[in-house]
Amino acid sequence: MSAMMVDAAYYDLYKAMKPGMRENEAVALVAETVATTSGSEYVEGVNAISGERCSPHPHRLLRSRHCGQATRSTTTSCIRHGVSHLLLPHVRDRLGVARTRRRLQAVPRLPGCVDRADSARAGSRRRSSSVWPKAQEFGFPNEEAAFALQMGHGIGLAIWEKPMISRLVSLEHPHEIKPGMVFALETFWPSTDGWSAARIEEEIVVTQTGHEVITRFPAEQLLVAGAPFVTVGGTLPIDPRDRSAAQSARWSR
Amino acid sequence: MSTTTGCGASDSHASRSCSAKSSMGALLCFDMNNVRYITSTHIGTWAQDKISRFTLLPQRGRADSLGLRLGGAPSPAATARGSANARAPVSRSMRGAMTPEMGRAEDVAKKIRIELEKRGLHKEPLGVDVIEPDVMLALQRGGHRHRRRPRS
Repeated sequence: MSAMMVDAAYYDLYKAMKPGMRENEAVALVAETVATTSGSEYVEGVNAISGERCSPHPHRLLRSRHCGQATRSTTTSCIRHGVSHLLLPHVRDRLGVARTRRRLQAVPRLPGCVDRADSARAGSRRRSSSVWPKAQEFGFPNEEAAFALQMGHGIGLAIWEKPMISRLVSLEHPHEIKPGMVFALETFWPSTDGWSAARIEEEIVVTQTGHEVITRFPAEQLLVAGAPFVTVGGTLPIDPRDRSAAQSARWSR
Repeated sequence: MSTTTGCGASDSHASRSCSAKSSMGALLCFDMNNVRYITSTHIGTWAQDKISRFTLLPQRGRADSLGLRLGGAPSPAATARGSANARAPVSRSMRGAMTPEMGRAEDVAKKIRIELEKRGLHKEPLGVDVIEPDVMLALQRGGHRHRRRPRS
């Protein structure tokens, strides 16, 4: 339920995002959607981040900057309603395409991280954190320095609960995975420019036979803000060259 | 802050003034409102009830924003630039999500002790506002004794 509420907030945010939007406006929109429209009892830690991503960390809060000028905006949110949820909608403008493309290189690594991280099955006592990348693989000297960038944690009435899944502690102290557990899986991967990165958090529920991802807003690709133009023949490509190519293809039939 | 020291501090300067008059060697704060008074730093509602980010206000000198950074370490690039945020890796029990045998409380206590030793304050009384019991016990095992705040 809580994951759905935040999915709805991201949908509204995606529709609203455009170059020139300020971070505080994005935060206000998400907070209002989750609290007022969806009725969450408590909205916590809605973050909007423009500019240098992951420097020092994705969770930087409430600076007032223009998304367009900063080339992209990443919004994360947690709600205190049993479940927290962080996903990453983005906006870019012409100034930011080059940097955004470098970030694109990082994004495909993240679903893989999630897949590896949630490979644990109910009843298993395997060290599920061992399938996550080592700190050195993504640029950190040790697991403590990288802690919280690749981790999983249970979610219940509080947003930090057992089990803890982290290479920092779980290899020596694993928790048993049980059906009904709900995890947040927080993933991070650096881009090649040395300072930006992508970060996606998904939530899963452990089932008798595996797991189900309960966060549904698309996060596997960077999203470009802007209204899609839907026609009777489908969604119109945003890029005029693509539209021209599609038109030529139709006329050549 | 005001309930801890009874001096009604309202900003970082006032906090330092109060600290200099205190019998405590340092004040350790996990309450984010106190952290905001002392450091003039607010890191959002995210940290408000986590009891995991903290600051250490020594009797003299500026507060050290140990653990104030939000989640995880800075990027390698930030570390290379010598960012102020490139210090003090995160330590926390995550409100019990970390079990005692994982040793995170001892890690917090160790980092606090290192900072106190740097300032020659490790044998002085240490004040705290709120603290997780396992962190307090770890501090005690490291030699710190605690006592209730005397009635004013």
